[in-house]
Amino acid sequence: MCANRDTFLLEHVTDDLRQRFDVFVPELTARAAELSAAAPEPRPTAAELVDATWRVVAAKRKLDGSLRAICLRELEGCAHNLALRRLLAAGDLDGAFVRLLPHLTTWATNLARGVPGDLDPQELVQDAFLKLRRAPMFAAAENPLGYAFRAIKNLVIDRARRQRRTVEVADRHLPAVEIEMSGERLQAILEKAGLSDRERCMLVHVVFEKLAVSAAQKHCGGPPGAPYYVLDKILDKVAASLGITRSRS
Amino acid sequence: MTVPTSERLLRAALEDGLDDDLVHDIAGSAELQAEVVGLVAVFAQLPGEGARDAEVRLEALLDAVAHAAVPIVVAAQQLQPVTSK
Repeated sequence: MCANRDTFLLEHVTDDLRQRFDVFVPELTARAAELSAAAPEPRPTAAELVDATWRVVAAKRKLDGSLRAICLRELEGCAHNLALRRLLAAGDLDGAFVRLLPHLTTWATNLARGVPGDLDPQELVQDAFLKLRRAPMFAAAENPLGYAFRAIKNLVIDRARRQRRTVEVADRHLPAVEIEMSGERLQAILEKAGLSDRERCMLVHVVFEKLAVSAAQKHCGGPPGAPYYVLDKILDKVAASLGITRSRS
Repeated sequence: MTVPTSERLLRAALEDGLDDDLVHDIAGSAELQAEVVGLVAVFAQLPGEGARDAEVRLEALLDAVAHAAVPIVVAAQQLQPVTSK
């Protein structure tokens, strides 16, 4: 019933988002009451949660799909963020970390799979908690959930880059910056990946010359069409030669 | 024809502009989250300004995903076993 009503509203009522949102307020309020009851003290009220959800939905640049589904999903996020903000405002960092732990562990596990070598998600989460504990901005963040997720992301990206520096220093006894800009290093990578001349040409023009992918394909004499597909396959070979697994969805 | 997500990721790495749909897709997919980091790791190994720009764009993409953390939370909740009602 709700889904049909939602579809109807999305198709026929586009001029007033608030009017469309109000249709779901009774359902959102009922769910908000459940979330409020499950939240740690001091609990946000159901009305506060629905109001926060409205502000998030109204601020979205795009609303694709079911408005009802979007509202219910954002309500869950608002419940987390409001509970976190209250814990942080009360100075209860440990309480906030307990609440964040399962979500950050999932995010850390997913991101760590993309980094070559062993990267322990639990270690990432612990490091992130240490950083958050020392970050005054975290306690005042409007979106503490997003702030914490970014802390994990920064650690993962740092690790991926640190690996580059390690490889560079091992390759040559030159300063990392000098090696980074070295065409010689690129040639070594291309040879190791076993790329054809055309593939090498395309990759060099994209990463060194900053040529658009389609222009690089044309410049290197490749058959026209699907330039990103071609580059994707080239990067697959490079990744394999570097021992990096590019997971595929 | 639907463009495969790996090609959409590459486009996001090599062209300016944030793809909102891609942000949402990544937020809801553990596989895609790993794939973005894998792509950062590949570009991190390549020299050249184009590779550095690609790293920066991919990091911005992950920042946007982190900011829209709610789908990640919901997906994590769905993965957790229900122990109580």
